Amino acid sequence: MNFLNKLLLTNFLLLLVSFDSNSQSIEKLEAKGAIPSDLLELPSLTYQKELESISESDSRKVRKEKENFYFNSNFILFDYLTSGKVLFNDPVTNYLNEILTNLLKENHPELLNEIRLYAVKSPVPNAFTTNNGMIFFNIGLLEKLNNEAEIAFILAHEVIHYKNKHVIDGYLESKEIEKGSGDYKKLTVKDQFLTKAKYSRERELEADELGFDIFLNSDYNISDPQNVYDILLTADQITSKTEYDINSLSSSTFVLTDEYFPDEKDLKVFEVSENYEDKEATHPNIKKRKERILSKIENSNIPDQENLYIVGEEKFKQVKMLSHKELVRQYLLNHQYTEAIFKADEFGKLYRDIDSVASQKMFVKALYGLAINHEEMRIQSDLFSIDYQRLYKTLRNIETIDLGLLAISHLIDYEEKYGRDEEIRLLIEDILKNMVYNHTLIKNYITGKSKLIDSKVKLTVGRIHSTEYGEEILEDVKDYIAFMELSTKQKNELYKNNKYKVKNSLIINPFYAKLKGRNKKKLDFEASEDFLVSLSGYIDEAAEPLDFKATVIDVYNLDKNDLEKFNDQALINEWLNEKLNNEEWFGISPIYSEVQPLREKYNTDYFTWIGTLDFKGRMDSPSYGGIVLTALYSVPMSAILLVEKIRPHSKTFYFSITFDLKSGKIVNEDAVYLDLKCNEPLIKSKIHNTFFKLKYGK
Amino acid sequence: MRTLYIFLIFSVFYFDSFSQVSGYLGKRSYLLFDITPTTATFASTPSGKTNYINLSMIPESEIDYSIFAMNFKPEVSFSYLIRNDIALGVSGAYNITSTYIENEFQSSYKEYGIIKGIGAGIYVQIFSGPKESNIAPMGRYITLGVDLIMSDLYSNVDDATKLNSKKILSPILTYEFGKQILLNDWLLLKYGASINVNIGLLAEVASMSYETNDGYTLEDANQSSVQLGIQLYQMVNFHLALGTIAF
Repeated sequence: MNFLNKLLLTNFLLLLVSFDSNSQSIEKLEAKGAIPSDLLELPSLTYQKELESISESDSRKVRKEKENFYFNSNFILFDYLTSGKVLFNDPVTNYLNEILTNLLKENHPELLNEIRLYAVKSPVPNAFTTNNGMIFFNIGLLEKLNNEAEIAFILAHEVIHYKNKHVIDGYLESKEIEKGSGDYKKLTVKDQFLTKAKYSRERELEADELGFDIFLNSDYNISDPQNVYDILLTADQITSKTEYDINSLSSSTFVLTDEYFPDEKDLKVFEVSENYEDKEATHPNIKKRKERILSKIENSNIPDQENLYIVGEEKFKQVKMLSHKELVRQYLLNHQYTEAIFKADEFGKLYRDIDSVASQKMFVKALYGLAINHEEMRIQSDLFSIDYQRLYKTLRNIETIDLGLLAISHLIDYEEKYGRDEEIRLLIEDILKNMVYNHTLIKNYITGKSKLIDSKVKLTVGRIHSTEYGEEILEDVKDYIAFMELSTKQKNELYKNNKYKVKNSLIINPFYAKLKGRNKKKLDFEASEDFLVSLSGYIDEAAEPLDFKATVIDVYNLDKNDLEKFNDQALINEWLNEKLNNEEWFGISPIYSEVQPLREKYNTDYFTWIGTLDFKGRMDSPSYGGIVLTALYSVPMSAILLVEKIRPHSKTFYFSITFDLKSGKIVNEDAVYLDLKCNEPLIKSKIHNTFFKLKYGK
Repeated sequence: MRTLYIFLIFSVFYFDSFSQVSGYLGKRSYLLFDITPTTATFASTPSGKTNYINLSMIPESEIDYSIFAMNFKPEVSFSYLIRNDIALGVSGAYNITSTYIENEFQSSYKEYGIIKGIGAGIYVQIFSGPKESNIAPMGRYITLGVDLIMSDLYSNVDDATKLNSKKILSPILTYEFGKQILLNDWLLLKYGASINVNIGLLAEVASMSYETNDGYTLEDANQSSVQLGIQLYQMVNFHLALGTIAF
């Protein structure tokens, strides 16, 4: 039984919607089953295999370029596959694979054994293919599609990219263009760019046409999928199938009045032309693409089918729902809060009967994110729907302080409706801390130093007070204010006396990269891989003498049955990326509640991220002045010093950051340059040092 | 994002490693076997010749000579890290300084001079770097130490007869700098250079100023010569040592 058939079999066994005893909720989108070999095989091995495919008949130059391509693409692809974004054996991937099977089983059954298809947790509306037969389909695209036939239409296009080797051919052609060989002599840089774009457009048209041939031979309706082009035309826009009511931003006690809303005259309908200039684009414009397909339909003798679904409409709806929920989750993780609010509202309206709580929780989380990261709101053009523009401009119009009050008010509303929730309590407290940090008036009001305060603040603080844990929150905030008012010396003293003492920690995907090249911009993938494979062992050895419990999960050392570990590292990756996305305020993660079970599972409250860069650099000392002075005494000695200063020395950059998984705060960090060659003992020693500091609170 | 963050902190920040555990994976002590294969390039005659120890009573101005000299000082040292960046240590050394003089009037005649001695010393080794941090026992270091060398003088390598009747004592202050790296879990490599000041010689030179010719014997001359030799030959040494992490 081949891999794909196994997937299909598994698919029947999977329930897309799970129910717990108290409330209905849609299950989380995560990888399932055995880890595919694509994610387990080390890139150096896949590279070696691909080298064998290079034909002897290719010229030496082409062989060299292909080697480069295979080398870089395999290592980059492995990073992507193990990033946690790529899903496997999950309902969405399974569904996509069923569609692919239907599409190819008659016409190209041989491709079914070669192509591997994965759904990707990315909000970007895109699908792409790799040279070695992997197709990645983003949930951001899936969520925009209207039916199964549209998915099949896109898959057929991607299949042609693989079948006709568009990726490697495109790479080789662009290298030819860059080098100005063959037909591309004496091109300016601009001409090179345009020539590459033209070549790419030709390949896209070919994939459209030949892909449509595959699609024609399927049993799907062939007229409807043209809508895919309309979707692509507005792919950058945030759209909704339901109407967004701006008044839903108001809470029970914080009603947004007209002053917050933008003037309707400022909201413009954005019209997109199909026949836009595509001279610099990698894809032809939509008009050309549509025309090609229409002429294919006209010339086709195949009778059109009615089928918009073959695998099944129900499955499509379920997959759309899962993708929609994940999309909002991804927006929250990316700090795209306006998008999150807009799509959470749509989710609530579309799936109210299935998951009544999710949209509300996503909405309050987005408001919380905006309240603490309001400055992050990116300036956007009027490219979007009127509803989205109205929401965006309203959120921009609300002052940060009011946004905080609005968010707290909604959080309390949520809890009054759905019951006590620890996560909500933390969000309220964090907003309040952020507010007292930024606004002296609120700080003075909380501590009782001043009673003069805006009535909205009074009302909100009063509401907090009236909650079950109101006293607790206000006491915590007062403690925080007391801490804020300490002098730096007192703070340092306090830090010194209250160091975290960490006896065990989760360590996910320790990082190592060997840099090469004068500007340290190139990665030596092979050397990095060798070291990474051994790194988990080094961590164990470094922890042992200290009796420190370091639980390492590392994608370089997993086997096909390590699904749980794989998903845990994917989750922590998402958590960490969101943390690093924060500019000033290390807030509560949008996936706080997903991460908390890991604390019990691994019996630790901490997560440590360790990394090393191995490179060559110049010595900072001796100074040039010192060398000149030395020359006064001894010219040969100064010559030796000069050579020492100029010649590249092996250096190591090491860092470690330890987070408290509960609070999300950093409890220990270390980043240091070492004027030493990176080798096993050095790294073990540094890691041991990190664990020592954690264990003894140094 | 993570990669971006790494490159950001790599490019912009570094925090010093304020507190680090002493030793390698908790092991604080290490042993080193140091060969100090230094040719005596820093001895010189009034006429500018190098590689010379004047073991004879022939006035230096009357001969034109000198060719070879070699200083070999195998040394064993034991260091113990008392802090994350400071080690205290003791060392024991066996010292052989060998030279010969070739007389230009009697070219077949070579006069050998051999100084053999044993020494012991104590030192403090400080791991330091201006910006780059070390993680002792790896990294750049400086060592400050005091050695006491007891030497005897022989006319050639195999000769058991000492040319002097009492031990020649040479207290030497040393300043060494270099780098230590661990090649694997236990094998330690050290390389560096040292500058050594023979305070015994300084005392000798000072006392000689007040001495009369009557009290100045051949033995005294030899001793002075040896002191000079040790001083000059050991003024700059290059170190290459291999060792192991102990406990």
